[in-house]
Amino acid sequence: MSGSERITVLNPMGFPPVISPLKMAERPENLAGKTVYLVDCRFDDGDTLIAQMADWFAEHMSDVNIEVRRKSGVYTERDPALYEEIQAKGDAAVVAVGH
Amino acid sequence: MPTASIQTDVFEPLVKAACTQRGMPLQRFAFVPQPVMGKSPAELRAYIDGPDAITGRPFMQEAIDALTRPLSQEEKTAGTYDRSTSRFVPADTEDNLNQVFLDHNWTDKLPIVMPTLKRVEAMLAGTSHKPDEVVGRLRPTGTREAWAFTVEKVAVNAVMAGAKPAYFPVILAMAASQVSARGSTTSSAAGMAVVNGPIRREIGMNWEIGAMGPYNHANATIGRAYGLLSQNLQGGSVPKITYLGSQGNNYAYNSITFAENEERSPWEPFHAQHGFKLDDSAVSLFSGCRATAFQLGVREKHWREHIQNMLRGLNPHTPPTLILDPITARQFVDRGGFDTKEKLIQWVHENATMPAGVYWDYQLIENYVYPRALNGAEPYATMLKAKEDEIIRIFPTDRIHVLVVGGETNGYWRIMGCGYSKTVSVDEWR
Repeated sequence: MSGSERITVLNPMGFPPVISPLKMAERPENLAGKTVYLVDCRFDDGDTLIAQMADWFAEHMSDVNIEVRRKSGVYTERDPALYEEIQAKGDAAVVAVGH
Repeated sequence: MPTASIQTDVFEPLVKAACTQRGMPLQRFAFVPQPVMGKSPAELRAYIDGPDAITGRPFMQEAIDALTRPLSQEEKTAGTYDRSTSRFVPADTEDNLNQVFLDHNWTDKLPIVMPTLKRVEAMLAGTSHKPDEVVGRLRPTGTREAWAFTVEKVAVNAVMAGAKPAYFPVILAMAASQVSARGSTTSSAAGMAVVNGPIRREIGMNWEIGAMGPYNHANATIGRAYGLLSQNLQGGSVPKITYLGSQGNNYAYNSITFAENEERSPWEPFHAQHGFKLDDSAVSLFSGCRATAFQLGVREKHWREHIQNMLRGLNPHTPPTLILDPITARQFVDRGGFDTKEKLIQWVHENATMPAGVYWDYQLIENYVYPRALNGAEPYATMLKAKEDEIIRIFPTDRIHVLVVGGETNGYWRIMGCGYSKTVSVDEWR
């Protein structure tokens, strides 16, 4: 092929799946009197970070009911039982730490 | 459920991309500095009390806002996303197209062979399968989205790698395995591919001197094709988004692709151990290749201690694959009476040991094995019951493997820490 000749080549990328948008949950006005689950997803000392966050709530927002949980299984796995508990008893969740 | 996702700052591009792919592009985050690992409680409290590592606003304010700030109109509106990929790249000069391919991260940053229609059609003649047949799906990790691909898409990447049409059945088999050579892990792992059976000779692969290095066209380009098809057909292997290997891994340039030396091995070929006949052609895929321990020969006096030292030098999360020159393979038979691979594997299982307390303190064991042990998965649940100083066996037999490759210039051999994924038929893709 000469340097100035225009050529057509094929795209090497695969085909992405369709994205199905999810609805975001409505938020409470504030956390006073609410139950917030702090969930350790089991990655690299995230449990220690969660513990510090729980202490912060105790010191600064003691009217928030904090429930600390450690997710079952490896961090890549779901924990349906925990999620059901949070849905049933919680008002919000913080999940830490991804990486 | 209103949720705040806490991440470390270096993963901002990845987590936002991942959430978009899962249908929640406006997921709310708060970011702490990297790393969390190894930090003291006081240091992590400073993260909590300090600024969000991305926005600069107070971290806890971001976390609480994520839970309580009313949804915006944009957050309430469902969106649609057009991510279709075209069959062709807009026409341009070759020099400009090389830059386009580099800019889109479609290459391994080395020059490629431009995948013109003529070249791709020539590659497609290497298989009886139709171009529009869907081969499978690939993804950079088990938690990321899987992209689909066709025979033609594999051919495009095979052309880019410089492979010949005669190699295409091997490359298709690799793609059909759905084991990515460009898996994303912060540990910077690479893949390995081992070919068995008559196809090795048919296409001129190398299993002798230099087989694991850049000394054979088939080995080099098949391995390169495996990497390119993995990165492009899975949706990318782009630093910070679809590749997070902290240091990177040089093995990834051709994914350690070679043929097993069946002729000079005292044992059964690898594919025959996994359900294939001797005259079947197959390719076996491994992943997690990082740690390598190396040795010369199998010494008469202290070979057991030497090998135990090698095994303990690996991270116990990644099991050992012994990669032996034929000289060394025969030495194992002479020294230890290992007249089958299975006997050698059993010996490795019995002698790869360490105190339980030491084992359970490895970070990767805590991340990936401890939760499984807690959930009752064996043998880990039983290992968890061991006392702190009790000696335990750290690698189950079904995760230990043996390969033979090399040209017998000397009895060098290595133990690669890696996991075996599967063996797939090459013959099915002729």
